Amino acid sequence: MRIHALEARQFRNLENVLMEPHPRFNVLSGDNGHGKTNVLEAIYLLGTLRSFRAGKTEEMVRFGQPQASVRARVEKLQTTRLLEVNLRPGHKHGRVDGKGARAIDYFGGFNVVLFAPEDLRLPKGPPAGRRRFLDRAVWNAHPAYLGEVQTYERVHKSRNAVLRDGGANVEQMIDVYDEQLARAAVAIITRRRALLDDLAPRVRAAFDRVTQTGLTLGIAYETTLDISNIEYSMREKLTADRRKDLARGATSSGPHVDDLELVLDGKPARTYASQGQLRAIVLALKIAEIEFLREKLGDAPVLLLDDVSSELDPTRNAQLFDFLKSVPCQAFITTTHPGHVLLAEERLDFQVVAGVVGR
Amino acid sequence: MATDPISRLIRELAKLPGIGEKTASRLAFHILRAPGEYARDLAQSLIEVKEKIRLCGTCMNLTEQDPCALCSDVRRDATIVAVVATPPDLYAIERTGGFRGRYHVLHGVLSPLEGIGPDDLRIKELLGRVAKGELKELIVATSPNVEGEATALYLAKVLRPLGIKVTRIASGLAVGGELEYADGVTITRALEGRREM
Ligand SMILES: Nc1ncnc2c1ncn2[C@@H]1O[C@H](COP(=O)(O)OP(=O)(O)OP(=O)(O)O)[C@@H](O)[C@H]1O
Ligand SMILES: [Mg+2]
Ligand SMILES: [Zn+2]
Repeated sequence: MRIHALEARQFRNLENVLMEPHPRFNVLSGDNGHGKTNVLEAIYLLGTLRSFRAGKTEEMVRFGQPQASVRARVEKLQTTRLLEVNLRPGHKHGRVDGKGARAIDYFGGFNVVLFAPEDLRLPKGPPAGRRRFLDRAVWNAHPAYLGEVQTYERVHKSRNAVLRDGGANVEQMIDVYDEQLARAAVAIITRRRALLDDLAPRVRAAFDRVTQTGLTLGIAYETTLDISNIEYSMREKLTADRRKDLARGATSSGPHVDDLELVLDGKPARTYASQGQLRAIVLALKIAEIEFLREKLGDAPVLLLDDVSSELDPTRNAQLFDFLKSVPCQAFITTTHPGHVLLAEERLDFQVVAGVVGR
Repeated sequence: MATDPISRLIRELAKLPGIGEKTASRLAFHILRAPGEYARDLAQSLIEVKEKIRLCGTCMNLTEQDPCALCSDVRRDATIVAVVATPPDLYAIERTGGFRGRYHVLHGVLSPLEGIGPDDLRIKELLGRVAKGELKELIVATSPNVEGEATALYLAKVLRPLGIKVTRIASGLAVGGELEYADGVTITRALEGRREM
């Protein structure tokens, strides 16, 4: 996958950026707060119709401006398309080759993988971060997953609303949402577990390459449900938890509380791994995700590395760049210290100063 | 203040779903320029729709006379009833010409997120029809999205104990799709492929 040209208008502090990126490595350097991450956010938006940091669409529109737009000419598997996202407060609209596209039709033409400093908190942070990692990886490989997740979330919120607001025939209403939630859960858990099956050997191999200590890293799907019959066991659990759920006004079990378990040499990594090992784990997860997507999609995703070098020790940093050199992919790498970016060849440097991207 | 007649008309039109300021103003000037009695006819039909249309006491569809034309048509099978969310859904099925039973309009679907529960729908009236013992089958023809499915599950739950056969249209419509906008062939296939719930 490759971006041939990128344009951002009134997007954050980028008033009018036009870039023709290198097919391999694009290094964006500049001082803090000048707009480096904004460029990555614009690219991420083109691939996902989402931001990785804005809560609301209007946050991405330049102060004092009515709207913003990001456009790119993007190549995937020898097909080139023009992707465009227009933003107005409360509105986000994707277009492909000039034609309006519903979210569900928009996806699949361009895949991005982001590696940001926040990812380094993945092993020890809250489970939501690990679920997000799983879901993004599944969704990159299967765009239809988005609809399945939206269905699950809607049923989940509906059940919680019934738990909280009661109303007529509350028990029968909960029965209804138990049944619906159990069905919706099957799709989510099945997809996530299938992804883990694909990812696990790659994670183990990558961790081994990165650490070379003979320690093994295992990953597994952690759920309170019986995976041999998800629908049945989810219903049992919801029934058993009903009083508790009514008291809490929330649903206690299901894929929305499941987790990704990281096991280092037989022990939970989040409890026992050292700082260095934790970073190696994250690196291994990211490498595995990228390798998996490349195989699955037949074309490597575009990589967005947001100032990761500053968070990695020199050894891991060197390993990261060795890996990048070994994958035939296009990458956008931001940094405050261009020297940390250990790439000598196939590299184009951009300077980001006050929202202007120059060479 | 904007109280001149044109601004007022634009404001009223802009309250309609899917109509923004621009469209409203285009429509307003269109009405203003339209020949002859158009504006008077439009106004008259707007008033009549409100004064003359009410709910059919049997199927809850919108009608001028009670019982409605569908409920009083003896050629239609009175033992099979298609349960729909809204009148447009009813007309979507009616347009296919293939369904010869009767209808029941719920006037909505269950949606706890919008505060719509069973008591906000015409479910009691449906239970009343079933209690009379003249119906053999209820086909739940709500859209196959989260709210439509929840409504179907709920109906099955409260109706089955009454000993009536409850079926659900086949998921020929794309999941999350809406009945109102489906084509005739798809709707016919969904009806024919219905399964007992
Ligand atoms: N909607 C907006 N309109 C205008 N400027 C904005 C908007 N949103 C953010 N900014 C500005 O963008 C800048 C932040 O850009 P960005 O996060 O890309 O910086 P960065 O170069 O990645 O910095 P760092 O090296 O600290 O990560 C800030 O100066 C912020 O004020
Ligand atoms: Mg930054
Ligand atoms: Zn009637």
